[in-house]
Amino acid sequence: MYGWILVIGILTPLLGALLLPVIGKYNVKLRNRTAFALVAVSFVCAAAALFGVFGDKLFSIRFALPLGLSFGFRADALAVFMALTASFVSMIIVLYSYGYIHHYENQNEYYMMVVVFVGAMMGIVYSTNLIALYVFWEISSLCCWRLIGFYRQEITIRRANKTFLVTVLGALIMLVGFFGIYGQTGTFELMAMNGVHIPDWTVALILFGILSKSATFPLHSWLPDAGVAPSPVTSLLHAAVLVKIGVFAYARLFILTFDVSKSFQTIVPTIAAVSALYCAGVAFKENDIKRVLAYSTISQLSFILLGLSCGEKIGIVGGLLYILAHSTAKAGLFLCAGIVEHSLHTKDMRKMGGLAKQMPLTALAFAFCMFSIMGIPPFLGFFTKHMVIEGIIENGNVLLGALFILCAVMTVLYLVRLYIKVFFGPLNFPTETFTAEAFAKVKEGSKIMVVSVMILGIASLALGIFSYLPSQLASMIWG
Amino acid sequence: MAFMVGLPLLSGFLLWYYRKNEKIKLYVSLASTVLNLLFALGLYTGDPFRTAIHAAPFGFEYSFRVTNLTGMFLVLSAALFIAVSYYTVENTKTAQYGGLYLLYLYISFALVNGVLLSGNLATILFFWEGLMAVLFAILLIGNSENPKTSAKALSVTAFSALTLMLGVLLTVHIAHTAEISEIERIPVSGLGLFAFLCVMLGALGQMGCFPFHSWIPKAADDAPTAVLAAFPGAVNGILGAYLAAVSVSEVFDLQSGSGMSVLVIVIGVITFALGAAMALAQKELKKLLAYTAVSLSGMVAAGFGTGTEAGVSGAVYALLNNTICLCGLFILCGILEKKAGTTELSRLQGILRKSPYAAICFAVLSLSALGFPLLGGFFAEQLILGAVLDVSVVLLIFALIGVFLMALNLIRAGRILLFGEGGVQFSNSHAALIPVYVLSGLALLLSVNPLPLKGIQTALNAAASFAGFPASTASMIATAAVLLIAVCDHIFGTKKAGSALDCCDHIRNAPVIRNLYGWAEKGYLDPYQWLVSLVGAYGSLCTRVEHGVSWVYDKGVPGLVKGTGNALSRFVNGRLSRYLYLVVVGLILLLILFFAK
Repeated sequence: MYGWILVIGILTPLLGALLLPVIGKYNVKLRNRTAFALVAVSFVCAAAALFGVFGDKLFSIRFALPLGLSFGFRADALAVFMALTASFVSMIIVLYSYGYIHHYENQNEYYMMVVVFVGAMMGIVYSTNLIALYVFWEISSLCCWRLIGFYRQEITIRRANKTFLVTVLGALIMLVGFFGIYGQTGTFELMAMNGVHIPDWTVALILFGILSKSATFPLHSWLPDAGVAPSPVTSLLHAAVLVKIGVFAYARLFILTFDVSKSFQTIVPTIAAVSALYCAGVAFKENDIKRVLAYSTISQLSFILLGLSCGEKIGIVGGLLYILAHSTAKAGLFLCAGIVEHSLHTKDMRKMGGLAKQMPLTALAFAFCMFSIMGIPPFLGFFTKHMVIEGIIENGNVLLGALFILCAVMTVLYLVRLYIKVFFGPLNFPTETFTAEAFAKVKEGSKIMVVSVMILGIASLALGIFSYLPSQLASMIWG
Repeated sequence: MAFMVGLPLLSGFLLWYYRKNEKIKLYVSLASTVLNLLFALGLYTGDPFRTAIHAAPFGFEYSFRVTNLTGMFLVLSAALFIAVSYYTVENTKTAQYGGLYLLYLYISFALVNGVLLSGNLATILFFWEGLMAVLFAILLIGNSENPKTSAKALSVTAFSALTLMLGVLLTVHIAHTAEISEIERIPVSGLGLFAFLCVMLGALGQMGCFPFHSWIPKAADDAPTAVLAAFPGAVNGILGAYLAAVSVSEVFDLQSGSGMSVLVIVIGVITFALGAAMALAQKELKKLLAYTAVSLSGMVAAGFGTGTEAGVSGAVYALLNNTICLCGLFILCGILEKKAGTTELSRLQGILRKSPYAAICFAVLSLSALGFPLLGGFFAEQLILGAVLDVSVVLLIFALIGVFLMALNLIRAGRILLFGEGGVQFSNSHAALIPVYVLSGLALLLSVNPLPLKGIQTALNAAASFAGFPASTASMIATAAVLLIAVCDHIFGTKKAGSALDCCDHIRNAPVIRNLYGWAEKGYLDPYQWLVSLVGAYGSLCTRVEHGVSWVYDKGVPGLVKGTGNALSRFVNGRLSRYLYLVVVGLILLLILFFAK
């Protein structure tokens, strides 16, 4: 009976979103609030499913289909962890959107796509069937396509297409991998395949899909380009939800379900190390604030992948907690970048500087989120970075551990550079376009935007101080 | 434990909240720091104990312990906190960000107590890395227009702290535990060598040793003197030395004279000589003291590098003496700066006449820091030099070069400040000088009473006793000779240059050395610049590759698809013969497949 809560958690945003354009035609405020409520329903359902996880009676439901096929939803610890993370951050992003998006066209579609996207994410995390997972995966790609192309300019459309093509291509290749598994096991049901060893070629195909979705080198190029989207979208896609789908799928398939070759415990961390170091290097030279954060995302996702693929419990739990830490903090960073961009109408860091005086709260929230990404205690990022690197060292791979420490140093360097260039130092505005008088008029974003980033900043800190709580849930995932 | 971390935190927030009420600020700061000292004394004199808080994430444990060594460091830091805190409260009365500065300062006190009380390496790391953010924030205060120092400090300390993280993780991997008291001393070989290197780099980085030193002189340009008194003057030295002491006495089995031992001594000696050499070129007292702090940290590092009981005891004793002296000197410098409005040596001349008590304090503190015979620093320095001599005569010679340069420095500064003519007029103020008097008294106490050295040896479980008299007569004679040469050189340099201020010019302008100073002033010898340049070059390389990757996605693949489409459309021209060719080729392929099977 409780399984229906999961169905509500998925279908409410998926179907409810269809009402948003209609409501939006008559009442904008009501549409906005409804969008928030729809996402909040997902969050509440995920929170309710926590009782199942801690009560040892998981919420699940199964639907029979013709020809002996079936599909279902199940809220185990991993699903609930991901659902809570994604829906919490999405709620904040919807709130922030009230202030950010209100003067643009296509708002109805925007809210609809964001909410559908959250529904698709819920579908992915609760699905117990490979085909259902694939279907929700593709729904998310569709939403992503529309959201990146939100401004309808030529460049945004081109980049939206790029994102769509790369992620869909990855998903199709992954689908071939799914069929390969079906050919071996005769089922798409994940529960029925627990502990089944799958051939390396299927793992490689699925991995291709995962890496394309989580933007890992060399399949990463779409992610920085997608920075042309509005900031709440980049926050949702780059930080909180979309890119986490890939790493979630890795955890679901290769940690909790299938038995894969030990060689992947070396291959995947090596890919992750290359991706992390490479993108950290690019981030250090970029001058577009959102592109720096995008490359940072790719680099940090590699830490998650490293933790999940190292084969040690401490690393896997660290990798899962890293998802939470990164989602919260990176969403905050993107939203802060949105406030800055909104005020200055530029994303070029060379034309910024000294904004801490005008935007003290945004600067503070940015600092909190930045410290978490850097891995400074007591922020959650500290624990997760420590656990992930401990995992790979425990696995005996000291060299990779050292490389990731190097990457952590580079993370500090490029984030400090960004922070100082944007919020401190002398003003770097070209005088003819942005005079000192104009700068003096620059103010914080709207109340709702500032509150949103402050929530994420404080959450980054609070999650670190009370890291015991999410850690309990994350450690239950491994069993 | 909760009290030692919680009290400074709570006090910090109270001080920030009552930032406009000077009386409450003074009472709160005095009460909290004195209480902190009393608790530290209680812990030092009480029985050792261990405790843990089970509120950490999976794989972590907040574990705490009190041993003789931790107790001693706690007492030292608590004593210095009183002086620094009093000075800061007095000195930030009218400052715009005084409350915020006090808040950060007290958070850093809490973090220092946390590190010293940590029972396992992961807990040390937790408090240790927290300090990076506080340092970054405190250096930003009043420097929002010029944030380079804070960025540099964060980058440098992060590099050393993350190296430490790697070292800690390797140590835990080897020892199968993070609990310090459960670790059986790890041989410094194989993976243990790498772990030791990383941990020591973390410790030396915190102390401000080469190549992690460069933010300290930069801070002298931009940060208030209170920051220098608190961080390079006390916090950094205490933490770095504590970790180094724990590493060589509890975690690793460092063999004296081994490759690692020599490496750490070399780093120490380079830092000692380099810091002193750079101090020679300074015309401002604040910057001179900043380089002196760097230099003295090198001497402490060299002591730890020896790995012997005498060397390590000497290093801890030197740390004790140096932090007291440096903290006092920085505070005195701040007071003089406030009165005279500058720290230029030429403008601060003749304080013996203007403020004789301050002058006496300066003499005591600087001579003790220098290791002048029969003062506290002398005993410490002799223990270290004796231990260095046991490892290598060459290293001792380099260390003595450092002693020579340091002596030149402090004699020069002392002569200008105490006996110089002219300078700015200012009045004497005993209230402001209280912390300096106390610290000078402590420095004298270390000279006449070897009790702390006995305590250090007990804390380190040292078998031999070195209290009271230097261990090596040879090094003592060499040191005395070097000090004498320095005095002679000072007289010679003063005569040659015509003033004490420029008495070191003949050294600075010597061939080769002149070029080195030139490069140093341009930042060519700054390891931070090397790091940034290296990362910048690497970033440029990655960016070029990224352009290539983007070209593949944006032009290459679409071009390939378009080209293939065009080729196919040209191929499919509607003629029947083409289709028949295709059918024939297809059939042949099917047949090959069929027969191959």
